[in-house]
Amino acid sequence: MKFLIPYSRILILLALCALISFFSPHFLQTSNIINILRQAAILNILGVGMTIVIITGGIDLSNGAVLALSSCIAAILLKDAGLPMPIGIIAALIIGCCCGLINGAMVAKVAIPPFVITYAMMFFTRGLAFLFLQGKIIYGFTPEFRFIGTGYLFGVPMPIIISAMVTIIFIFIQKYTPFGSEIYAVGADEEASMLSGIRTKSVVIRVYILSGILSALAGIVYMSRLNASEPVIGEAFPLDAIAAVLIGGTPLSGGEGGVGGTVIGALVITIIINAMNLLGISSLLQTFVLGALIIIMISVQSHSRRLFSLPSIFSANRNGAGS
Amino acid sequence: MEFKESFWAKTRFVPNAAYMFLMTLMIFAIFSPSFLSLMNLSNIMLQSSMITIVALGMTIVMLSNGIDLSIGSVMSLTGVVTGLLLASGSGFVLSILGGIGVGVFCGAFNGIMIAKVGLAPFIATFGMMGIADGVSLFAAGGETLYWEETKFHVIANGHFLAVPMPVWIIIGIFSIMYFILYKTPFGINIFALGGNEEGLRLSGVRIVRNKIGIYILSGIIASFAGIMLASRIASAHPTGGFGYEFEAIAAAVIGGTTFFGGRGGLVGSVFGALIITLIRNGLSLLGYTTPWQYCLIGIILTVCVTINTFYTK
Amino acid sequence: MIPRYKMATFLVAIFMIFGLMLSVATDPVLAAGKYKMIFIVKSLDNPFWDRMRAGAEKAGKDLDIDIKTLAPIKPYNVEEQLRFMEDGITQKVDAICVVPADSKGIVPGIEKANKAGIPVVTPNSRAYGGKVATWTGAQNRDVGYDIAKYALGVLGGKGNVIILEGTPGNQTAIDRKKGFDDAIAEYPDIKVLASQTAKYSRVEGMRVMENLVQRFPKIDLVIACNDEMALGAVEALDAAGRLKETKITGFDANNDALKSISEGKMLATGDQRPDAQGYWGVVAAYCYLEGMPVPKDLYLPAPVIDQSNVKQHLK
Repeated sequence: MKFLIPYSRILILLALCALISFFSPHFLQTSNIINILRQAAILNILGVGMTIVIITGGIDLSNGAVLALSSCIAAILLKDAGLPMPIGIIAALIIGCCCGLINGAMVAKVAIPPFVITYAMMFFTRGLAFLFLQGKIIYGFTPEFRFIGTGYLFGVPMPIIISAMVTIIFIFIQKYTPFGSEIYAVGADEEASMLSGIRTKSVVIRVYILSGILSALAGIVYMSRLNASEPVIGEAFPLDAIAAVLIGGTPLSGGEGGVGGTVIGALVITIIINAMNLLGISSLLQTFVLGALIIIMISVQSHSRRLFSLPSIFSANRNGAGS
Repeated sequence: MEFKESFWAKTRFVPNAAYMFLMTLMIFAIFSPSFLSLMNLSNIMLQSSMITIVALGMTIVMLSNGIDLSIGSVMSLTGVVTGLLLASGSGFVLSILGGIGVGVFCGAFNGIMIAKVGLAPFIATFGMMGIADGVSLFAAGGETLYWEETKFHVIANGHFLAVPMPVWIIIGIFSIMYFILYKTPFGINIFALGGNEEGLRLSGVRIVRNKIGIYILSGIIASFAGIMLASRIASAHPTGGFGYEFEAIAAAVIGGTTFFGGRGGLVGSVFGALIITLIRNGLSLLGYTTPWQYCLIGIILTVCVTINTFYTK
Repeated sequence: MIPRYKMATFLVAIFMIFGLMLSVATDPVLAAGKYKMIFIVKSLDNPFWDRMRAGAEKAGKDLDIDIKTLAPIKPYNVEEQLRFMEDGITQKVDAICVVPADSKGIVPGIEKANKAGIPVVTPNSRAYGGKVATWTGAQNRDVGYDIAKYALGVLGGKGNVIILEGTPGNQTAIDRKKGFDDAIAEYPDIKVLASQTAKYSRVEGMRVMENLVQRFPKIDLVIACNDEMALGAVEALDAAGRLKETKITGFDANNDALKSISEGKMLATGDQRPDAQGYWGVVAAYCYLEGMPVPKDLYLPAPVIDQSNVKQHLK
């Protein structure tokens, strides 16, 4: 049943596409659609991580910075130290895991608000990224490595495949595993979950670790696609990922929503940006358009909830409270 | 029988942030000779002016269990509008009023979206952030604005009775906010919205009106900060306010206000803002390059909040 | 609630760690060197500023000057630059070299330095106000004009062009684009298909190019406001298989761009020689302090680099 929530959102997505293709014939070209899917892939991977964190009622502002740090370390290992590809990738994932662990432990054990600890972690990891790279940009990786970001498998670009796999795995986790239910439970009511025997602290820590690992994975795809690694990447990602999650119907208060919706959210954001380039919208107005469209879409969504009259347990608090 | 509170018991009203502020001050003073110089202290007051102002506004929003991500962009937009007015010769007073008008308008828009349309504050203000940014860039034609008018300069750079103007302005804003928050029904409603919104609604208070008011207040404060910024850099940059919303939240959280509303206060946020500025200033004087500053800010932020958390349990 | 003594131990431990960290730092007041200077660039996110820093630090070594290079955390944020200047004045540095992120916005800072009697040098970007000892550099507009003119000449004066703009509101972006526009205005047969911002970033350049490639089947030339965006565009065109038919120019002559030119992927770039700007900026400040006369403007020639002369510039 949870999986049906994106229903209304898919309609909004299709409506958006129809509207744009009215203005720009190039929008629905196959190459453009593949383009969009590929560009949305990284945002999607980050969005999945952000979704599970938000479902537990938390937030992760550090994903962009962790992305940067893990890709910087991987780049140094691969290029400067000349180590083989698997080591670079594993190193990046380990970094993501560690950052996630610190985030999760602080949230769960020390009870620091997630906003603050991930904000602090963002500064910390970004600083480390700068320090490790010493201001230079590492450029030019092996063709095998570049395959991750630019290769094709059965005619589909690799980033799309990786992102799809991540999404499927997490939808599975969310729907069919006890861990998935625990995540929702902790988000809905932590007290009650603890009393009913769920190890809430462990759930929270695991969720942040997963977010960290996914950020690192996104970092590898990013780095491979760009064929370069620099410490400044990913600044916009936390907010964009959160926007994708929220457009996808997972409220910040947690306890409901899902990864399926986030996919749509990521697509929506990417499509809007793509459309603005295609339509030649002035650079000055691009943030305006994005902001306005996000507001419009979510307003439509929250009203369409009433139209579709989903069971009340699935609707967000409609009094406007709940940040 | 008389009940006298011992002096030490009264100290529980002092926010933790004040102690952390003193600690930070002492540490930097010990390690950096020029830290306590009059010039540096004066600099610190100037440098902290904008973040203190926005921290005050953010505190009020957070107390009502909300968030306002748009203040950075409102700051920029205010700067641009004020700049345009100044450049067209509208005079000191009119330009400032115009700037404040921007804050009112954006805040009202935020409030309506949140209270009437029912959007989550995060999304509504996030959208407004983009909108204000876009309008700001567009109105400024993508360029920085300058003006000939010189009285405006005084706001951030002038002195009154040997104290920098920004300090007076902050004292003024703080006093007004303090009054509103603790001495008016509106203020009580703000706390109540954060603590128990349902209960407030049931007791007959017009929630929508109050919420819109809160965001308008936040917008006005953001526009004050925007005016201060424009005066400090003697120009209006279309994206000058970028990032201030997060600093404001950090300052408020260090000061003890949490996202769950209802606790913490204005005084704490002022100290929080000062701590952040102290750290930047101190690290800079000690010769740390920017990447180190990034890392250390992250660590220090964590330490401060940990201390806060332990002490509010 | 944690027992008092545990909290006290925790705090003492924090103090000690903090103190240790701080003692590792070097307080410029105590550092060696004949003169102390601070060198403020615009941001950390572009190798251009790194080269300028390297140039400045080399000058510092050559002249025995202690140089501290700083950059704002928020890229191109003039307010942070103001703070650095104020902090530098507090520390009584001998000279301040600053690349203004905003030519007028930096003036309050320069005025404060003037009042404190500290000379100010502005490499790369001018400041419109205050008393500045020297400006070193090349005019962004002129170099932009030269690059565009060269590229348009290679095209034979006609074709489809896309401009990748820099960060909106950024002075160098505005100047360079003006240079491009002026050059394009001289060729009536050139058609500008689109002029979009890619925010000076490599990944944005790639993304914007990917999108534009969908819309325009024939693109002859991409003129980018900096090398990073140009390199991103190279990746995008390469992936789309259209690198051969499109020429790309950048600006800044960073190492990756030079490599790209020598491989024939990029057409040209302009070398503002940030290292020279930084170096001569510091030298000018030194001369001023030594009482020697210093020219108000130090023009450093900025050559257009293409495949013919790229070998001499590659490191």
